[in-house]
Amino acid sequence: MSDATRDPRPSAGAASMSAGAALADADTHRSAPPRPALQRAMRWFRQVGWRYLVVAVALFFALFPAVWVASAAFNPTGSIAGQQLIPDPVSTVNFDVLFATPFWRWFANSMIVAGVTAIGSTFLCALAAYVYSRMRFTGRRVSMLGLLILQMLPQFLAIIALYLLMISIARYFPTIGLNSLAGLIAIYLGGALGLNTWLMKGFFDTVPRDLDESAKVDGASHVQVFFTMVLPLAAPILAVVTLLSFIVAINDFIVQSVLLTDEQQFTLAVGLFRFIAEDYGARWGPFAAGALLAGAPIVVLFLFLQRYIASGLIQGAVKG
Amino acid sequence: MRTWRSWLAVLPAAALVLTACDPGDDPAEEPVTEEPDLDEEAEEEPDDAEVDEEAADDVVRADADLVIWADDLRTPVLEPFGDEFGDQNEVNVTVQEVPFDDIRDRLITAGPAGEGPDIIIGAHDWLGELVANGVIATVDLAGVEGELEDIAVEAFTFEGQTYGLPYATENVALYRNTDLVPEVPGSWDELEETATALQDDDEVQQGLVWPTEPADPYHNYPVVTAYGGYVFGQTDDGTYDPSDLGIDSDGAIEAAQKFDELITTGVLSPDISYDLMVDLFSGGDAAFAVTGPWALGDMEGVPFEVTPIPDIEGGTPEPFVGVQGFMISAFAENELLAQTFLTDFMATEEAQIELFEAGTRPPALTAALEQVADDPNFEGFAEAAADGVPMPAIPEMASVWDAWTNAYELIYEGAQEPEEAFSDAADQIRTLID
Amino acid sequence: MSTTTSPPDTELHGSASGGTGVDARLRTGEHPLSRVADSLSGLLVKLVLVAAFNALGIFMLVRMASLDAPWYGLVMTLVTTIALNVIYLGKRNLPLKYLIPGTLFLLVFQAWPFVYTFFIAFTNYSTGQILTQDQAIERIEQLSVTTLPDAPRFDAVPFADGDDLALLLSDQQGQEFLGVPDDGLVPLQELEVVRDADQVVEVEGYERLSLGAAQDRIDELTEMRVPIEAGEVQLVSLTTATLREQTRFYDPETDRLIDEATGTTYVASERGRFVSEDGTETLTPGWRVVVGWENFAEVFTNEAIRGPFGRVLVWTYAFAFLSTFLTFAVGLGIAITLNDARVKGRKFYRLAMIIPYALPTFMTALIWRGMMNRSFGVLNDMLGVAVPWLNDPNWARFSVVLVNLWFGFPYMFLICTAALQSIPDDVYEAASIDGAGGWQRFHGITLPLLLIATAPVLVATFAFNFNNFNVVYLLTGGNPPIVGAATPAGHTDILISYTYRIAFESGGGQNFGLGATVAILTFVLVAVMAVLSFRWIRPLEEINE
Repeated sequence: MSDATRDPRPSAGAASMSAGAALADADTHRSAPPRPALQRAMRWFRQVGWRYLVVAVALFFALFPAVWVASAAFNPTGSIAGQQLIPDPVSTVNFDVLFATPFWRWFANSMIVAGVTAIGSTFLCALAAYVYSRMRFTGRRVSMLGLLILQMLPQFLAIIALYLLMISIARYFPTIGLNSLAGLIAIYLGGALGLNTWLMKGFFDTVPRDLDESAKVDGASHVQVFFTMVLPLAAPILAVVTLLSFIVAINDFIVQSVLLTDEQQFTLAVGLFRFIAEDYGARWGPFAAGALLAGAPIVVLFLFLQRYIASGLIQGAVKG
Repeated sequence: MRTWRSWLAVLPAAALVLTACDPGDDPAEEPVTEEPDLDEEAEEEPDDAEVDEEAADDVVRADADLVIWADDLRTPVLEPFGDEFGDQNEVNVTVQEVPFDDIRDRLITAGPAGEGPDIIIGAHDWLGELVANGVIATVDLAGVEGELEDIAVEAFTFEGQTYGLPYATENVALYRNTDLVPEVPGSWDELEETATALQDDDEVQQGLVWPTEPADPYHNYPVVTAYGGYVFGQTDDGTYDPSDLGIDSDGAIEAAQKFDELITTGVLSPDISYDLMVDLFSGGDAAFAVTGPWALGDMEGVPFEVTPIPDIEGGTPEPFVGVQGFMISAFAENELLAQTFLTDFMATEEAQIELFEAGTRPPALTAALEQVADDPNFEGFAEAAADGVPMPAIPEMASVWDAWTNAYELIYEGAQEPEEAFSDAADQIRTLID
Repeated sequence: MSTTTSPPDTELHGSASGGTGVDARLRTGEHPLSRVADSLSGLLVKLVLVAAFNALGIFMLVRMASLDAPWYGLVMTLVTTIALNVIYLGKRNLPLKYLIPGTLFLLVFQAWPFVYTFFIAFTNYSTGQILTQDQAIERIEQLSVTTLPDAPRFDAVPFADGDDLALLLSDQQGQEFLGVPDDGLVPLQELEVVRDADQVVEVEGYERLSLGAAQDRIDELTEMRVPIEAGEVQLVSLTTATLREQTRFYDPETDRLIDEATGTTYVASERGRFVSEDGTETLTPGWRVVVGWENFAEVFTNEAIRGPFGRVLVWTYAFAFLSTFLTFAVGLGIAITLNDARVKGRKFYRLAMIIPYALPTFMTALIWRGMMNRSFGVLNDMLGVAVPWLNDPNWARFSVVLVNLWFGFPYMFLICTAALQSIPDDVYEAASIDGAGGWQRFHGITLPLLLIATAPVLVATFAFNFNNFNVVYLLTGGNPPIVGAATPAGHTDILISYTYRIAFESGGGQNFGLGATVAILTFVLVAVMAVLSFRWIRPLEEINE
């Protein structure tokens, strides 16, 4: 691939300047005459300040219940009701209780399942999205619609059949059958094509085809175009799909609880649920602690992917 | 009844039960007994090389001669017994931990598919469904019957056959904070007065806590029976008759009016969840609570005593008595061995005492029950149980809970007159049963 | 609009006419040199992968064959392997080469369960009808085995002489016998006995079986019957034996079950039950049979289901629509708000927005439930009010939507944030040169472009919420109840939670066939809506061109 398709500008950070910022710049240039401080403040509020208000409300809404989870995690009384916002005293006893279970084993299992699922399904999804975006063939539209509609069957009823399937697979290939992490991953990969394919296809559509045409003239094959041009340019959507697949694989409970039966094979969702289901009143605190820790990888992954999700890489490419 | 729990369990459980329709007609699909080298398969999923191969062999049924499914409380108790039994008989015994509420549905699923256990622990009110589905076998208690509490054996008898070896009974009774109320209330009215007085003096947040959110017909049943109400009529031999629904009987309607009154006068709050009840009582913010022995551990924190709920307007409250026991799967690989384990190892004082200590429910073996009777709390539960009735095990009971819960909710909210709420519920249940 | 940003997809609305034109174009566009490079590096990779697939396929076939897998499994594996070879080694089918990997997983783990669920809807699979007929027959025979009243009980020890088995039996009075299948009971005094420290170790050549050895012959022991006058003695455990009798026997010739005690004959009915010839008595358990459209007819005719159906359906639509609309509006609003480099701490804010999504749903649903408790919840506590969040019909509906908004907006926020990045700056630049204000920019540019990108998401979210069992069930359980409904139903029940009640709480057990039927029907409802809405989306996409 030629470097011409990459962002030619020196800093990716500059390229990531958002649409809003660009607009604001344009405004600034036109409204040249200086104004009194009040008016400037008003203008600041109109363009930026209100955003903080919205953010404050949104933060409260998003975090309020989550704060209760955190509070429960550090509250030694470990009960759900009558709980204070700031636990008194703050204690890590819940974590000690939690770590007496095979928590880290479950954690590792969840990471394996979610990690492989996220990477695998993003890749499978990208392959399909590329075809749908770049090629025309009989059955294209029907199959795309089919992908979306197939996912509309209520999951908790379809899982019956899934369980039977895994039982019969386990008879011949226990490594990928019931009670195996590999089987779980395979099931999640089965859901790789679907809504996410649409999302990705929509994004690929915005990557101008002139780019791959010219690359082809330069001698690139379709495989090369896909791997070296389309994929890098689609980083934001790849990041989103990776994150979504990761979260689904970590937080999905139904499939995992039916398929995993051995404590050593449990994922976080199953392990923690059983842990609390066994003694609800007394284990609420440790459970909250476990939920917090379960959320941590998602947060880390988001932090890592955020620059792709919210970046303007593609615009750089277009302009270049 | 910890309703929240069944709510949570409901999703996977429903899915699981559904899975029971195994296309097992194909004789070729026998379970694989030997697992050859699995290395080659690793190709298919190179990413998960970390998967423990040993564990991957474990399908549903553990690889052992005798497999027992028990919950987290009983598994540690059963394991040493299993080992001892295994040593004596030169067999492998495995106890697998399965959440109590999942055991029934998993057995229905895994049993017919050839992946189930030989023995499960469970509650007697599962019998109706398990027997109807044909997934449990009869248990021969003839040798030990005389040593077990009658109500426990009766509970595990369904349509004339015995289906389990009972190990514990459970029922609700009155918890009383002895600091706040040193004396046992002589009557329900006295209880109400004490509770109201404490509440008015701000000594407690709520004098009497009773799980009301969601409404809970199981905890409410003693009041219904005190007024002469009932859920299903019983024939002479104690069998429940699904055609005789008593929810709109005169006694039940009186009870409905009583609940209306209790809410209106503030004796009961309509917003007490099970957890709130435990929190309030164990924190000293409530003087009385009504629930079962499963809460004993959680109630520590205040000095308390357990006694039967006092008579209400002269009527004796009769709580539902639930009995837990061992059952043998109809698809057990070795029924004789399972039966031997139950009668020779589990119908013993030693086992029943240990199960009692782990599960804090009165044992079903008379000799074991006598041993623990010194503990006043268990005496209280046992006294209440003496007046109790076995929870109906007939499958029709499944149609009752939801409608009856709704009726109570409507009464609590004042959305409907008590008598109407109960007669509507009765109509709904009849519609569902037909 | 600058030409460089115009989307390349000019054939969205005409797939049929599209044909393989692009494919052809792609190939003609290939540089000769690239083909050489492709054939060297690419071909190698391709061959290795195909070889690996084939190795796997062959391994699977061998393994399945060695374990007596059903023929259709073998055929499917074989066909799949061959198809993979044809597709990847051939020059044609370029789209398939990309689609196959995901599609394989999709077919096995999504499409097949779908088909199977569909099948269940046509069976009477429910409590009492879960076994196969063979299993049911075995159970009926087994359940007819009863211990006779006042039957003698024996302590038993298994003995063996080569292939022959016997039991050392001692009755309640301490009398000992040797029980032999052909000869019945023989008092031990009459026999030649070898004792070792009081324990009988050998009788007439029969040696005491070690427990392990007994275990190995457990099937024989189970089957063993020792005839005595009153009947047959058999083991009931490894240490006890008693008299038992089986009364019901299946006759495979006539497909009938005969009760020898009463003389009643039972015939297998089409409903999957054995019914006595006079039709008055039905045996338990039954088995699963295909009942055709019966479950579907049931949904439409059963009074219990139809009762509150109408109002539940209306609320289901309202709930799904409100949830979709609100999550989108809030998610988009926050995404736009944060999509401005001048906002300090955007990274942190964005992170905070996905927190609701990062915590396990069943836990946070319970947290909300606790917070919304009328008397003890923190919401009322803080606000100093007594709002019946979950107790009053209208408030409960509000609460369900609110909590579902909390669960759902982070997803929309993520999607919108990503989608916003795909709107090129120069579009806005062009617009601002035209003098468009903030609202105009949003309404005229951002929203239409975003709608195109997210239309499938909206449709899928609607479908998801239409069946969003978890939130309703965990938060309100469908409550508060509807007064005077024909069957239990609540003001916040959506179709799936309502029919769940019916399918799993009625008729003395659980009705899975009915549950699957309802799943299929709701699926059809949603799918039809999805297809219709795509007719609406297609013109939108054309605008984009």
